[in-house]
Amino acid sequence: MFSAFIFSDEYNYSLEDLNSTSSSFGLNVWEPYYLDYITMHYFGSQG
Amino acid sequence: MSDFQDELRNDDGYENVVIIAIGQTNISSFNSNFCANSDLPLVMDQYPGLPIREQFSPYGQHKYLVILDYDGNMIGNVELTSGVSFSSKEYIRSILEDHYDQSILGDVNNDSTINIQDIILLVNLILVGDTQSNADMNADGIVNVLDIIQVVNIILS
Repeated sequence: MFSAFIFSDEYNYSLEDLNSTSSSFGLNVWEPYYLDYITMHYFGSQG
Repeated sequence: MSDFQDELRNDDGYENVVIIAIGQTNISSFNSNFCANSDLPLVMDQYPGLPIREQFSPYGQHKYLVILDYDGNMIGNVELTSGVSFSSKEYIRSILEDHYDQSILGDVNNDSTINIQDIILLVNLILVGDTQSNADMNADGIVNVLDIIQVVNIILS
């Protein structure tokens, strides 16, 4: 179990959805709102 | 990207899939290029450490898409250098095909059929105060008689 903890590649974050046109606007994502989802995380920047 | 999410949900049947955009700049600048053309959730990584990118390193780079399963484990990643290309879409679909839980809403015992056996299990869930995602027919976060009614309607239809 100790090894699994060290080598676990679990990710998580919980931040406010800032897109006013999104269905989860104002709520914290991806946890907990999308807990039962397969999530895809796209890293973008200005422009 | 928003269109691709619609494809996955509406055309391919992957309802419980979401693409989340992770920005790293001033929100007003990002909004003008993103929110006007997309309904995807948007979060902002925090300067100066950019902890989300750090957490996803080395895949937390510009234009990278990281796919996580229901437990937050990485199951795929792809660099979208020229948008969501055909090959990128096929790659993502192959990941979903291997990992997406196709359990049927109402199929509580996961035997691919909705019948009286599922209703019996539903009743048991209610009596012990437990929940199960494919038993919550109306997605209100609880399993109760309202969900039983919906399962009965499915059986009778």
